[in-house]
Amino acid sequence: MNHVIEIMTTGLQSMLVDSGRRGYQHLGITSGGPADRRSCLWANWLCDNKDNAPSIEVVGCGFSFKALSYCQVAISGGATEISINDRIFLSWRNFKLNAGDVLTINKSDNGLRSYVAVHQGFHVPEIFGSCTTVMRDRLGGLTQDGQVLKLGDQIAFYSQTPATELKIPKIAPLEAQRSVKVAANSELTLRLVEGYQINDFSAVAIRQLYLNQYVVSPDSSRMACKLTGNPIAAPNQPMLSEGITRGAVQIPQQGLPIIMLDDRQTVGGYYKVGSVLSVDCDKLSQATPGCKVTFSAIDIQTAHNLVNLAEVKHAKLFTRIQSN
Amino acid sequence: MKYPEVTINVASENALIVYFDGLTLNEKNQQVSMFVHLLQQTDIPWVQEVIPAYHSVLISFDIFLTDFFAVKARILELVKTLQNDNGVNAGTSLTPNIVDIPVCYGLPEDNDLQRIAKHNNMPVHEVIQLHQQLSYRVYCLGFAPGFAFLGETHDNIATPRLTAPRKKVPKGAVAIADRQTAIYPNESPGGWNIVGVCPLELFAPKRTSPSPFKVGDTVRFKQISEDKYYQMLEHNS
Repeated sequence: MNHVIEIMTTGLQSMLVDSGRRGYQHLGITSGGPADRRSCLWANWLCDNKDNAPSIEVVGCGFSFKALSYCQVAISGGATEISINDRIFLSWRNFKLNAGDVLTINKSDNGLRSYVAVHQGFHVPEIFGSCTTVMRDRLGGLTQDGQVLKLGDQIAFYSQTPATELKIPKIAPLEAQRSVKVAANSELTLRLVEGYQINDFSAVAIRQLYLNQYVVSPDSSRMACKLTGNPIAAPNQPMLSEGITRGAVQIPQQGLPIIMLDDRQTVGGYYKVGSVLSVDCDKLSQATPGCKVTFSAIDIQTAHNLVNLAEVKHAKLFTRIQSN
Repeated sequence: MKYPEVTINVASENALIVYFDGLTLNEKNQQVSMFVHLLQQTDIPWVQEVIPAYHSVLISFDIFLTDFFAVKARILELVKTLQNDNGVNAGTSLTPNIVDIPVCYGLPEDNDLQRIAKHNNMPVHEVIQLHQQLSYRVYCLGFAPGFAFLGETHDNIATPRLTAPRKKVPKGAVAIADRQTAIYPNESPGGWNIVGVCPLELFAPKRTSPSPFKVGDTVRFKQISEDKYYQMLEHNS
């Protein structure tokens, strides 16, 4: 038996991810991983998987694959409508697929990225402890050299039988889905944990940063989200390169914020005002170009509280998964 | 050596950045490598990533195990340890690692030796000689996996980055930007001035030690002939 799925169409882009490459940033190897971590976790939870089980991140709609043997899968993220063969379903739930079934993501109205998990995770090779695809690092993916998925690729999963069968359907509570939703032309407020070189900026520049409304640029990627709008003044003293966190907000000389995301380089020499809260980075990764963005300042105590609360909230929502 | 004060800033919800003080960049970077060494010897469960750079160390922590204030307090304790023994213990246990890099200067044909020579008003062979004359310190790894920022070059060969970066810098290219020099471990875009090419595999994901460099190491460049370059390249594959 051939325990694989085969990619029929890739959508705008699709790639293997898990929780990312950890502990190698001192070598210049970035973490990578799901751009919307919360949605990716839900896909794995709906399959009874561990948090770090390999899954697929899909950009936009039009992605489809064929199951070559029986398997149980779940779809989360921006996907709003999927089909299995000719039957239409909502997403954020798990499904049984028989050999030959084709699953397609038809609509992705709730955000840019969707996640496809399979029960027990995809069975794929790891490099530096992760299967996560990072194109610019040439690491991860099926051939471990950073290539995204292409037509005809076959991805293995662990053999599944009715004995390992999950309760089907398992549907995520609507509240979970709503909390990660970023529709087209949404207005996002990004909570900025102030830090790094914020004191090197003028008071006027920082005030402008919080007053301005920015727009997500089409030039954004998994590496960074670029914003357009009114520039602010950045310090122009030379700066030594230093470590960059996920969510770090760089202000280069042209004055428009660049928010560093999962495939960012590990060090950089632009001035930074702090970092966007992780849960807001998840939402920003779902934002399509044209979405509007404002920043709101928070301190480190508030940041700790918000992250812990988000964790508790989703753990609680998870206990309310509906089965019928 | 006296161990100076540090500055600690918030970097993100689960990371802080420690800046080291010193009279020269070299002195600051020595504090960085001693501190990182001490941190590695101290087994701390909440440490997720440690990124040493020129004069800073970024530390990210598990936000569900600890918080910014506890981490900051622990970092200050470690810094104090270094201050109390004046860096002696950490310093002596650091074996200075010397990495020799063979370079075929003048390859590839699309190089910037002429540009550097012109900028500094000297013949090309002197650029080549000055580049090899000094040994360099690894200040930081980043930009791409295994890319080491080395410094500082002789003032007389310092050259600003290209105004328009190359779309493709070949794998192994040895290059200069201002008073920094580096080797591109893989083909990539880049704006540094190319002086030559190195035949060694500088980032091999499947090797036990994927990169020969770590912050604080000493790097020396040694000129090799074109024949020797191709011979070594063949030997690698």
